[in-house]
Amino acid sequence: MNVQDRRRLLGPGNAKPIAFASSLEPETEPLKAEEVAKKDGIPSLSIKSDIIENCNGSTLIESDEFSIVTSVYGPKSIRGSFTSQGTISIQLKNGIVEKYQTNELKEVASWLVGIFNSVVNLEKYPKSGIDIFVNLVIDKTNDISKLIPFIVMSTCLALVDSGIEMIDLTTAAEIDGNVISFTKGGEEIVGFWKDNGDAVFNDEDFTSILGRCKEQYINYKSLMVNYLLQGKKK
Amino acid sequence: MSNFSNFPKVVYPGQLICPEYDTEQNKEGQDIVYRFICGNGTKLLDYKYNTTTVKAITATLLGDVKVEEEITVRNEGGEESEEKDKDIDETPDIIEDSDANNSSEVEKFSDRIIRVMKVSVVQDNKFSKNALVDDKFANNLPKEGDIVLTRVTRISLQRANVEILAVENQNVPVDSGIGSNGSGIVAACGGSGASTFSVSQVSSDLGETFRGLIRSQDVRATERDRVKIIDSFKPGDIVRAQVLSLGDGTNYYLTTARNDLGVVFAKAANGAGGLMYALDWQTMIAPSTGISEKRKCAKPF
Amino acid sequence: MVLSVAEKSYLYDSLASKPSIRPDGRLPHQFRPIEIFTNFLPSSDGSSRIIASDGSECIVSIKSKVVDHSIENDLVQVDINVAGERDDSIIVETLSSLMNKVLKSNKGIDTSKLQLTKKYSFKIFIDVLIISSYSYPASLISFSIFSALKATKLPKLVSSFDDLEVEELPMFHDYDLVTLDVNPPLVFVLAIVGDNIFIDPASNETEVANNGLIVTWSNGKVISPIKTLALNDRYINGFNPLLLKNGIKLVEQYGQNIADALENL
Repeated sequence: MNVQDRRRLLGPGNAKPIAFASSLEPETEPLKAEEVAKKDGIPSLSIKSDIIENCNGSTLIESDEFSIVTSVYGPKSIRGSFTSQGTISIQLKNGIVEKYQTNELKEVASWLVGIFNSVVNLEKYPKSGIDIFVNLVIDKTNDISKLIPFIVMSTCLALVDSGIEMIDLTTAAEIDGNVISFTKGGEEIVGFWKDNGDAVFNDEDFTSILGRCKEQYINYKSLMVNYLLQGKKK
Repeated sequence: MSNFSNFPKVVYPGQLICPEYDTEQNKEGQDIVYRFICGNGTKLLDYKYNTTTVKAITATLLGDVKVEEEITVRNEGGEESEEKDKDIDETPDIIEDSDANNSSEVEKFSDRIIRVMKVSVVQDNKFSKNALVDDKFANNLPKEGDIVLTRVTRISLQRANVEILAVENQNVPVDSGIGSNGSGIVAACGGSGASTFSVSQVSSDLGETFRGLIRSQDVRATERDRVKIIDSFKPGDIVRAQVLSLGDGTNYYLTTARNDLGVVFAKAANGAGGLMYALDWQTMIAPSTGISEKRKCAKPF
Repeated sequence: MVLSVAEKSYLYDSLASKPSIRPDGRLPHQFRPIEIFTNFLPSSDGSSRIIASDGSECIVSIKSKVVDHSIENDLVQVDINVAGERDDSIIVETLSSLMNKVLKSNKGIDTSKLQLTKKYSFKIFIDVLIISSYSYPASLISFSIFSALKATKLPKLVSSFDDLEVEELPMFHDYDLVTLDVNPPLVFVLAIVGDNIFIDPASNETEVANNGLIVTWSNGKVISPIKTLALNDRYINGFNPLLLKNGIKLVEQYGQNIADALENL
């Protein structure tokens, strides 16, 4: 509340509360990982969830081209006036190599907020903020449009991992620089992003691009579902 | 209960579980109308099917589906008055495979039986596999009516300011309340703290929990106007309280006006002394020194 | 403007109905009236001030510098300031990233028009100041940049074009100016409500929009960037893929009218 409150002494960083001798069994299972075969231009992906200890949910998605870590913090209290629903904030961060300019990353981040505002069940989280951090650790693609589908995917999986309620799983697909993010099995678009090239939206091209994106989205989504359900069985 | 067997067992966010209404005939040839309502981890959403819009219950979490019966829907003489008794009588949960012919709960209306079923999604418990309460952190934000455990941070004549440590019977999210109740190790400038100080003003400070306040007239149920906060709470006390309302932007409004609500842990001499024990509902005593202090205590049992 | 729940619901229903009714009675493709003044800043090469009917106001100033284009690749640079916002706030960074992409060399503005000699070119600096804005200002900014660039006059070159052999700096005429002949793209903001789509949403319309679109138009066709835009955080939702196509068609259809109107000031 006031400045002094924030500066409370927190004790040493590794201080732990007393754990009573009960349920807490150390997790012995290895982290879940899944390799997915290469098909239809989908790069082979390795997905791991629950990799960061002190956040509510996290996901690592890797392929030959990139490695993206997403962590979800919250819902936690926010300051300021009353809000009857949750507020999402997303931050994108360059890896070691400063590939993208900050304002470009912020533009992508605010675009992503739009997507997740429409799929997260925000009414459940009054007065709270959900903070999402996306770290583009390795990126050899040099084109953020190619990366966006996986940023959306990893954010979505991290949200599932954190147990935040979502109306639908969403992920994006990229064809010729057109990035489309779908929900409801491809019936609805929640986000569209195009940075390069002309829009050739005569009826035929539009239908074909939409169809191919939808197909890719369905592939990605079944990948996510498989991963989630498999992790659940273990 | 053949209906429920074709429900998906394990669901992921966005997966359809069931329609809002369903019907079935039992052995006696009676119609049973099931009305499904949303529990935790589900949401009623509209789906466009051909040209009509259908409402269906959709999962919003990853986990197992659980179907339990809600208490009594009454239909009296054609007049449709639905009364759900929410607050009293916790009837034992009827999970899908248990014996559901609990006719006492089922009101007959002509030859039709209406049963209200609550569909919820139970998450895996990351921390303890065999927990008795199914409560991964999930959605444990304090709601109206919830019992919360709080710590008093500041008192004034009119109110006591508290921070909410936990919602009773719910787990604490891994990242919240570092310094007050968390167990994780936080790197300097890590987590969301990094963003809060400079860029986004929306997210909370690292280690800051939800705040609440107990107004003096909400401390106890009797003689509300004569309550002295100083004789009820001291900073550092652990107080069990109930959420009255979501309050304003900063604070939840809480009350301790019930026998089982009030101070549960307190240390003597403003925290310098030892742990005290409740003598009666407004006195606590430190066994080592024998000195008593005034508090609004919660009934321990 | 803060609307009550009842007002929003009324507004949403009227916008989502078929045919839709906009609160100010406009057609789906109709803009609100705007006022534009150009060339009023004496110290810049071109300037414009645009005032929308809701009181949104934006000033653009164009300045230029002679640079060696073999070294300097970016010949257009946009800087955006929004009154009352920090330079690192999301709205400012997002808008400047968007406008820089829109005007990116070779795609948005024909950089051959900026070339002076074989070695040197003009570099254009576009400074945008948003004095007040009540709805998403991307359209306003791009109209303002468009009219400022159309009104820009740069010094006339008097030295020879071929300066690769002879080492000399470009020389300019003392009085004569040449009008800069470029066709900058225009940015359109569209709002999606239910199954309807509108150009130039007013602030009350953005509050109930299910989604928004940013569409860039140049020389009769729609170009990138095109993207969705969350106009509020309450009503935001998915939309029918066909609306994307409809929105782009709408812009394609009426973009030329807007450009003509802006050009014939």
